[in-house]
Parts: sequence; structure tokens; C-alpha cells
Amino acid sequence: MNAPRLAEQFEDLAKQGQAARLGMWLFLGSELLLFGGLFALYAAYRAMYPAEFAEAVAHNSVAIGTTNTLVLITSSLTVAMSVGAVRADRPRRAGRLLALSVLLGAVFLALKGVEYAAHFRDGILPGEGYRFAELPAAGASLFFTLYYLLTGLHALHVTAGMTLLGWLSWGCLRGRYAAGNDLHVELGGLYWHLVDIVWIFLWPLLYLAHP
Amino acid sequence: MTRAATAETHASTGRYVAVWAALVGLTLLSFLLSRAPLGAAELPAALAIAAAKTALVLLFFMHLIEQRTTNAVVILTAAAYVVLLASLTTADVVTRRTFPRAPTPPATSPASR
Repeated sequence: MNAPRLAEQFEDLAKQGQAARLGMWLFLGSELLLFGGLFALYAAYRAMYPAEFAEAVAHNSVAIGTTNTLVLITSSLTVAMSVGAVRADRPRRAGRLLALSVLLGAVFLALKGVEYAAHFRDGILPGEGYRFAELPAAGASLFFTLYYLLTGLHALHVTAGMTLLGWLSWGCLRGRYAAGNDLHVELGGLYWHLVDIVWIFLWPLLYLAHP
Repeated sequence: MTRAATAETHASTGRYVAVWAALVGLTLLSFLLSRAPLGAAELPAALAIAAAKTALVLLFFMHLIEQRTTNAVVILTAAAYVVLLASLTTADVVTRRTFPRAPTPPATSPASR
């Protein structure tokens, strides 16, 4: 079953596809605004506590953060290639590429877990639980609380994205998608790329910038 | 599978890999700049590189380049609002001054009223 069904309110498949794409972009825009509140808090508190934020950024593991950046960029590549594959009527190849993307997502979450564990051992906990003796200032506590909120919300999105890509991968391997019926794979891919874009900004803000 | 489909797969794969290589290159550049003594320019430079990477992902991985402008308008509007939210919130914090809540009352005796 490879032909997409045309809903009665649309004149043709092209218009139906564009409506679905526009709807997906609207959803991604609202996701951006969800993260936007936390980004605004980060900017405001960084302006209030520049020195404490710089010290706290320097404490985070650049090795883990940078590795995770490369892992997510590569997973975006495999997702983009899977869209290319299903458009070229190679759904099995697309399914394998999507499965690889889910695996890369799992690597990202595992590295994030290693990092969280190290922070917990140091007593770096969000809000009232903050017990890190090395950086006792209020600004550092605020930084790490925002760090947990930003990376936690992002990790939730990674998990949701992995579920979505896993479902699409299964569909591709079962032959549910093919050239001409590739919209679901494309839209699921858009979600994953947004997760990648959020991390592209989180990486310099949480790991790099400490002038 | 047709020969045309194979050619199409190769063409799109080549373009995606080129974009990926550019993203990895920009990541490396951002990392090296963070180790250079840039001072106050470090954060703006890092954010500019992140914006360039985002443009690549949007245009090629997310296919905005081949889609209708309407779709780009939606996501650019959302991005503009995030920039406004962050910059105006920061502007408030940075320019905040503490003034007396009201003019100090003149020191006059009750008799002269």
C-alpha cells in the first residue's frame, strides 16, 4: 500500500502535502518558542552574573559536549539521507539509515547520562539541591539550574525523536513508504533536525563560551 | 529499482555529505575560536557560527531551499521572536537602575504650611 490517500478537502496531493509541511513548520515554530523562554532566561542571568557563568561553563566537559555535537550532526546527516533514499524509492535503505539515527540518538543520551552522573557526584543539582563546593556563588547555581532545564528539555525531545524515527524506520523496512509516499519520513526528519538545531546553540552556550 | 533512482540517491547523498562536512568544519572552527583569547567577542562569534550552521541545516537537511517561502516565513518569524525575547529581557537587566521610589519630600516645618 504505497499511494497516499487524498483527503476530500484537498484538490490534489501537492496541496495536501504543502498543508502538512506548513503545519509541521508551525509546530516547529512553537517548539522554538518553548525553548525561547529558557534561552531568554539564560541571556538575562548571564548578563547579571558574567563571571560566575564563565566559571561554571569552564567546569563542563568540553570533550563530552563536542562529541555529542558531532554525534547529533551525523544523525542529522543519516536522517537527511533516509529522506533522499525513500524519495529515490529505496525504503529498505531509508529504514536502515533511520535505525542508525536512532542508535546515534542513544549514544547522545548515554553520553549525557555519563555527564549527569559526574555532576551528581560533585553535588551539582538543580535549584535548592545545589551543593557544589568549588563554585558556591549564586550565579553558578543559577547556571546549573538552567543547564538542567535546557538539557533536560532537549533530552526529552531527543527521546521523542528517537521514538518517532524508530516508528518510521519500522515503516520503511515493512515497505509502508516509497517514492511518492515519503511525506511522513520527511516530516519526522524535520522534527529530528530541529532537535539538532537546538543543540547547535546549547553547545556553545553551555560548554564553550567562557571568556 | 531504476537507474534514474540510483543516480538520484547518489546526487542527494553527495549534497548531504558536503553539508555535513561543512557543519563539522564549522564545529571545529567554533571549538578552536573558543580556545583563542577573543575576550568579549567570543560569545558573539560562537553564536554567529551556530547561526550559520542552523542556516545550512534549514536549507539543505530540512529542504527549505526547495519549499515554498511561506514555510520559511513561519520558522523565521518564530526565530525572530526568540531573538526579541532574549535581547529585550537582557536589555532590561543590563540597563536597570535603582532610583528613589518618589521625590524626597522637602524639609519644611508644619508651621510654614
